Amino acid sequence: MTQPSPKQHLGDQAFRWVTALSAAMVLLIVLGICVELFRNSALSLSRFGLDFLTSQQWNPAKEQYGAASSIYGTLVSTAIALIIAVPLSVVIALFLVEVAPPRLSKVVGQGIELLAAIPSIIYGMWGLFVLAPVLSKHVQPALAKAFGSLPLFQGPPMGIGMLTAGIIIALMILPFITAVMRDVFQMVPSVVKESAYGMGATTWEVTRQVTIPYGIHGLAGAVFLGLGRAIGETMAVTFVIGNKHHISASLFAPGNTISSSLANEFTEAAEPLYRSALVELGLVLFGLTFLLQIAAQLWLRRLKKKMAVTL
Amino acid sequence: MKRRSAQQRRVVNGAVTGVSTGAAVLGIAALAWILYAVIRRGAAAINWTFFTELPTPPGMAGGGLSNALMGTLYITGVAAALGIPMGLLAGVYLSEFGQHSKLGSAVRFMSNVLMGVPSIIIGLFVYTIIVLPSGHFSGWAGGVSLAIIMLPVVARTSEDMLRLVPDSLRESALALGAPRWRTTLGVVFRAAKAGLITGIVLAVARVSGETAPLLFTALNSPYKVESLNEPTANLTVTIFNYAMSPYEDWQTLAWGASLVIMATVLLLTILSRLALREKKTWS
Amino acid sequence: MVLKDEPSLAPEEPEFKLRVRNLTFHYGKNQALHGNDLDVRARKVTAIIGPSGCGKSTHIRVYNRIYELYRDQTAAGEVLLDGQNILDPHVDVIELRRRVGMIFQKPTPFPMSVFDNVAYGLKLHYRPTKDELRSRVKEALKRAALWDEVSDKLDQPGTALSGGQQQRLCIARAVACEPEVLLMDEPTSAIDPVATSRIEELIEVLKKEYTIVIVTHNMQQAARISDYTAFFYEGHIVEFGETNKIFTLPDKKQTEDYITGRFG
Repeated sequence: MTQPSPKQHLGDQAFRWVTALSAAMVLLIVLGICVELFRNSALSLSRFGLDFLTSQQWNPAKEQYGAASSIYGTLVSTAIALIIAVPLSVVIALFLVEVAPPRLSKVVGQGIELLAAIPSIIYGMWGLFVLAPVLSKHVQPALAKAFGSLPLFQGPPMGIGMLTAGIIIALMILPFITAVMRDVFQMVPSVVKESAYGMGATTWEVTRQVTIPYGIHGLAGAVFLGLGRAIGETMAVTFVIGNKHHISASLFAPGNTISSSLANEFTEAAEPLYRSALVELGLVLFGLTFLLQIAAQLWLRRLKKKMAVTL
Repeated sequence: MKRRSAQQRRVVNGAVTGVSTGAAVLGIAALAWILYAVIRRGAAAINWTFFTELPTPPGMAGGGLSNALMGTLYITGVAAALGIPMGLLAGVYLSEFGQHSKLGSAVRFMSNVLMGVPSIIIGLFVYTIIVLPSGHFSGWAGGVSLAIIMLPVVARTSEDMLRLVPDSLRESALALGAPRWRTTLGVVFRAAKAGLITGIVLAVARVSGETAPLLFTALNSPYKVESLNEPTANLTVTIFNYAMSPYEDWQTLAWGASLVIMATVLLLTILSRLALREKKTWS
Repeated sequence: MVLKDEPSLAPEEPEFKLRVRNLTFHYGKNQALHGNDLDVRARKVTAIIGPSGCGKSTHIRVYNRIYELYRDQTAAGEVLLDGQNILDPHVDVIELRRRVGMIFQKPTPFPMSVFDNVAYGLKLHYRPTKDELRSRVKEALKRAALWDEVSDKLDQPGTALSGGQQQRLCIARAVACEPEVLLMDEPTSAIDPVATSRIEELIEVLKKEYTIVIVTHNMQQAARISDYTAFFYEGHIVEFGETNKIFTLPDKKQTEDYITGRFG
């Protein structure tokens, strides 16, 4: 048997190193992002400290910056999106797995997945020029009529604002959440479902009492996924949220998210403190998504353990 | 014991079935609405001038987006040239050497993190490491930011595709005395070729539709693309700028650009998904 | 219900619980069952044996119409439960499945506590009070010979029990709603021999109350516990009769070949 020649050995070693370095680039980049975000927000960090997170002020002229309205907008628009998208995803997944015949389920499933391929800026265009007028003319006045006593639905129905942003984001994260939930529903062993049906349960009863509890960890993971995507949405939100640094109780009011502020203001920001404050916003967003990712991975680890036990 | 009404239970079940069907219809209707709106408004802007002429000041007729089209092609090209090789090699590491290594787990975790980072933050990052030190915006910086977005995606899909290749194939090549690198680049790649290509096409299609990472890197430009070392025209930032402008003819152009972007991305995505589906069932 | 020592039928109770006439079954275009005729006697154990893929499970899955979950599976013919054809589209499938329970090859505890598992069917079909619920659950667990082992574990998840216990849990769950027929599809093939013999003992007791149809690939098991046996081959019922006769002096050579292990 021939030994690998020293030349071959060297080639293999080099190969291993080159591929490892390429893989390590990912680590380098994430580290780099961390470092650079900190470095470039140093000015703002030292000027405002922790108050940055709680102050609603956003006044370039007075050089006063606070992230509160951006953080609020990010969280609220995400919350609205989840409130709309998660129940819709559950029932759409139910449709795809239990209600629709296999061929219809495949076609509809692929159609829903196509929503995920549409670039964010297209959603922005559609949101601003097509959806917003419809909301302003029909939906918002109807909501104001029915629930106008609540501060949530007060104010002029302009069509753009927090609610619109939430709706657009919901549409964008819907295909992701639905795809995962559909997979979770399909992974419930058919013998378990048959046992429940065999006892005389209806489809909805089986889903509610057996399928959903069986796959609850996976379903929660799907929500995590949607949450992560919603927080980072930029272009679609920028088009429809109105870019106002102000916290309002009304869903009809304009606001801003961290990413929309960056998109709208960064190229216009000339002063170093303004720039630094915007970078600090970016740092907050990065921190949020990083923490979310860690939480999601821990959850996934728990899920894998649970699946191993039941198998 | 009192009996529960089976009829009532059936009615509730029927209602839920109806709601779930309605939700599915809603989802498809939204898709159809978006497609219809973009096609209708975009088609109005698409003509020969759109593809051949440079932008003109608002109000002046005869403007097009030829520079933005070229710019997007160039910038995406740069991104592909950087992101594909690196992503492939990273995927090779994860699949061939890093299945149980510490580096492998760390890279997988960080890939997920990187994929979850909003693309505008990536644009911000590239701004700090390229635009600031060089003192100007550039198409190169835009390409780099898109490449960073591509890297973890290509790495993970490549890893998945390479893992599908059975070990017996690797072992028989190695048993013949071939060195590791030759085995991988030759035999394994060839076996996974279809899947690798479609994974790459999907990633390229995705980044070509990105806007946020270009906002502070490539910026935009009304001029012909002469060099990538300066602000470079591109379709997506153009859409953003023109849509936000108060000029109707610019907004029309924005719709035209939207149609081009959407059609390209969707077509490439559909083709890739079809090909991937075939590949997965075949192996 | 009071358990009697002498398993005798009440005067009005018919001798046959289920009568199958010319049952055919298709998976899409493929015919899996060919004109099956079978008479299942009340309060007896009827075993269904045969090589893999011969249609045993397919056959009993018609009895509770569980095959209807899959669009391409169709059945035709007559399956008379107490004289009523259950394949008739007007039949209430929900009630049918309360009357005909099913135990599967793999134990399938639901993701809930032991108590809730057994209570599942009761809460589905009835509105029991708390006391009614507790007493019915206890009774069902006793009938499944599981009460002594889980009386202190009722709140634990069903999945925390051992394989044999889980299967008995499924039996308790099935008998809680007072079914008339119990279908068992290879109920012991996934559990250890000690647990298997416990379940076989249980079946001996259960048959005093319920009509039992059991599919098994284990011929010794069929010989041990059943009163009647049907031998299936490629979707046909080759022979059906008293277990003693089938296993000692079968009419058909094919039956004899299978029994003696000449083909598997």
